[in-house]
Amino acid sequence: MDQVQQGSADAFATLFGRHRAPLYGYLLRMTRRAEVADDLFQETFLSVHRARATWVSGGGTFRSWLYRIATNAVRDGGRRTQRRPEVFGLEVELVSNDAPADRIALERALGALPENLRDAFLLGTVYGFDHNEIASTLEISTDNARARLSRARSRMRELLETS
Amino acid sequence: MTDAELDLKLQELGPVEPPRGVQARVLTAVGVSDARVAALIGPEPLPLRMPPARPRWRWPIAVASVAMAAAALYAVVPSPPERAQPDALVPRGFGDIRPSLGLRVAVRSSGQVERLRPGQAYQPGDTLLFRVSSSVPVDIVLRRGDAVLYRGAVPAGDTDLPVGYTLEAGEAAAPFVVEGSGAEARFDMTAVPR
Repeated sequence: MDQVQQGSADAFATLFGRHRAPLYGYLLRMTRRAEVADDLFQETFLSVHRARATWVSGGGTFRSWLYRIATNAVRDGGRRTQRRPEVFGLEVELVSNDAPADRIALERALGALPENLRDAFLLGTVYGFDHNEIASTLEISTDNARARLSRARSRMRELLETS
Repeated sequence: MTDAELDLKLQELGPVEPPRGVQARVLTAVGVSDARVAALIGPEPLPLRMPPARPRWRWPIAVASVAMAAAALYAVVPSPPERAQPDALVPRGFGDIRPSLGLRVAVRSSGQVERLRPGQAYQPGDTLLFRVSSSVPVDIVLRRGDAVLYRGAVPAGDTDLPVGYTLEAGEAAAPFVVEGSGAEARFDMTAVPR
């Protein structure tokens, strides 16, 4: 990240290569729309590049900073696209045709999770963020992060058991 | 469902590779070189090659082509000539279509020009002049024996030819002949005295 801050395009490319697929999966599962995820993916990385000088290594991990930018982009994007019609059949975009049935059920359950629980759930359960990273990313307290994650896991279990 | 079972299921929620075009736009926008972009996101995928579509009208076109070929063959193959009925024949082209030609000759002697009449005496040094009359425009030849004196076209009516023939002493008798389109006219000239 130091080299990125110094303006190295190659270092940015390395950082991009490391985080692109997890971040895109996060955005896709948060937005449930591929075209929105595409836009937010670009917006997030371009914001990182523009704001690279403001990142301070002592203020948290790069990962939590990156996902905070992405989460804010999702929230802003959600406000912008609030009136868009719902796109059905998103599971087709998220899973391949030969995916097992429980994988499809998992994506459906994730989509049914409220957005304020889904982000905490994805970060904590899928991406392995600890409570502090979740709190930093979502700009909430650590206790709140722990509570959200707990509620999200409980809700997901219910959704998967009833599916 | 226990926490362990949930965590096991969640392992299936892996990363998702973003579209290649989206990645390329981001990297290009921040100044990453093309070579680095290609190395990071892979080469441009080959275009999908679809098999050539079968035309819907393939069979109708084939049938129509065969029918047209058969019709063309029928039109090209010669049929035997029809035999004419002799009683029904109409004679054509037996009328006289030759032009009507006439030749008159004048003689210029001692500065005087007068019409030369058959049997009239003429002298060495006299010059013969020729007037051709034709019923239609026609190409004519004026000759005396094998010698061609004039060749050219004349219109219908009288035409004075732009040639003269000066008599020499002792010339044998030989006719002047004008010919055109199968018709001819002649003027018999007697021998020139010495």
